[in-house]
Amino acid sequence: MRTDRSLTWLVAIVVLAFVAALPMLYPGSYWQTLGLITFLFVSLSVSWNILGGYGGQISFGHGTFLGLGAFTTAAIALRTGIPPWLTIPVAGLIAMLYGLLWGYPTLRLRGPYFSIATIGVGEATRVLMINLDDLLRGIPVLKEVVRFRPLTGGASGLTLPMPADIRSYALAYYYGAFAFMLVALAVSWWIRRSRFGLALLAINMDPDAAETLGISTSRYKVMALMVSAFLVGIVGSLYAQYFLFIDPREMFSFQNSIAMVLMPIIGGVGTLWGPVLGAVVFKVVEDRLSTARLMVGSLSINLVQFNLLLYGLLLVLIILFEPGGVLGLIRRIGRSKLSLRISARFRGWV
Amino acid sequence: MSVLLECDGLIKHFGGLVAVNDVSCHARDGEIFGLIGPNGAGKTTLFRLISGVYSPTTGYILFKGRSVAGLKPHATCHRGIVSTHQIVRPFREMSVFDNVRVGAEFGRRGDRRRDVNAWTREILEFTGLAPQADRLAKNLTLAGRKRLEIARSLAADPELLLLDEVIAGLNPTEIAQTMNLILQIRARGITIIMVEHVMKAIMNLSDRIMVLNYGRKIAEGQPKEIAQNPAVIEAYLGQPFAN
Repeated sequence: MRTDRSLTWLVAIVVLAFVAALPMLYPGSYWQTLGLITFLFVSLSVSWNILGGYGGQISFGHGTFLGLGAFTTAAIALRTGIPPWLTIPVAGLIAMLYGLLWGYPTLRLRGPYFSIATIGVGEATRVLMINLDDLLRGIPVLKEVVRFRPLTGGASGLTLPMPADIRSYALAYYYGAFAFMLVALAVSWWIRRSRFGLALLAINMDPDAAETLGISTSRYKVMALMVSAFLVGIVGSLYAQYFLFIDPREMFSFQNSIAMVLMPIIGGVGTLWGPVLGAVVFKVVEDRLSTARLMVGSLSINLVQFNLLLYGLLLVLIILFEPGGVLGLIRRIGRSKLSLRISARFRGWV
Repeated sequence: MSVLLECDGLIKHFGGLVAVNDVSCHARDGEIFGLIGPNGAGKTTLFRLISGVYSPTTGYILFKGRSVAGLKPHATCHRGIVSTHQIVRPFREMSVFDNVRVGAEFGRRGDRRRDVNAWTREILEFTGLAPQADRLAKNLTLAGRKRLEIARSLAADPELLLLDEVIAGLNPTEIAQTMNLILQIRARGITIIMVEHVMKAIMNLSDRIMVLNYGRKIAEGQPKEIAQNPAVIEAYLGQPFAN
């Protein structure tokens, strides 16, 4: 058990060193951007896992926080002209408040009923945000808000001004996103070993028993949603700052919400490192397949959307055979007779 | 002995079904109050009304003179009423220690408890679960899980403990051990209301017994009186045996 843990840390340190050195190996490259996106998705996955993994409340509505974070940053930066990074805490707070707003009623529902309600919340939010500017223009007092500048830009989205030195800007956000990923991991690690985490775990395993033993299940679930929303809101903010263009149809899309559910489940839901692993697998598979082509005789098949098929297959296999996800699979292999035999032989040689 | 819990005119409807029909009862400080009745008599429903899982359609529930009717279970737990579940519900993937720690952390006075781990260990020692502290709850035997259910509730530091069939399904040795444990819990000053089908246990343990049938109270008194009560015999065995 101890060696298992120290091995995890060793792997983590090697990965972190590689990640830190990547921009020096390939400065300003495609790999740097892929790295940044991976950090953001790892953060999303880890954040979702606080409510979905520890607390067992499967939310399909986390895309709302991503979008709100992004548009809060863009709308404030465009109106006031302050540097976008200053809006990060506000983006997190707005997402958190939105989490309180829809979490309070929906978290009274249990299991699949909660999940279904979150799909509704996500879709309603998306439609609302796409039409927000037009909606406000029709209301007497509120129309002043969007008189000179849009809030979401409707179908045309919002564009932030281009920074002067794009290379160092990109590099700064690469490390910034990396640092934030570590923050999200630290929060997740802290919650897992805290009193709060014990409450979430108890709620996950048996909400009625948890309630009987004095845990206010609705309060802890709403708190977990708010923490999770805060972190996801900040990811949205960082996304807007790096890519400089955001479209409500994309930011609030159902696909983002689905991605946040898939990543932790693929990696190992309810664990600290599983969601990290899941996000990396998720992004790498998506990236590799988006450029790959399958040659069948003289026929060349484009595999751009093929990743969705693969995720679906992976999800079915995981739910059927290894609910612990990729991390559970690795642990199972580690415990298996085969690996014991190999390590025994290895010891014989040394 | 002063009255700790008082129920007055409790009624609970589920649609057209009246599960608890005008039940009044009380539990005195430090006693063991037994609750028996045929299946579907409303025993568990009464427990759930007291612990807050359901709120009564009408009627009063006073705990230490204050109304607890309609409070959520976590709130009644903080007031000092903790119940066990008829079908044991351990946190399966947690260790026995962590199961008990949940009660210690979140139960009555849990947020003010300085050393949660010490309290948890004390409860584990008291209930005899200490040797199994590191095992996962799902790997315990049925007797172990029933004991864990009691231990976890005790960790929440109740003044009134509701035990729902903690003896049923155990073998004679385990029954004797659990009966002994219940007496020790009472010796700690905790009042107990228990539902039980094992007559030997409830007749020996209870100071007073109440009998429910079809949601109504049909008898109340000392175990000896209850055993000879014609209405009770009729409810259990049918009319021909009543005389």
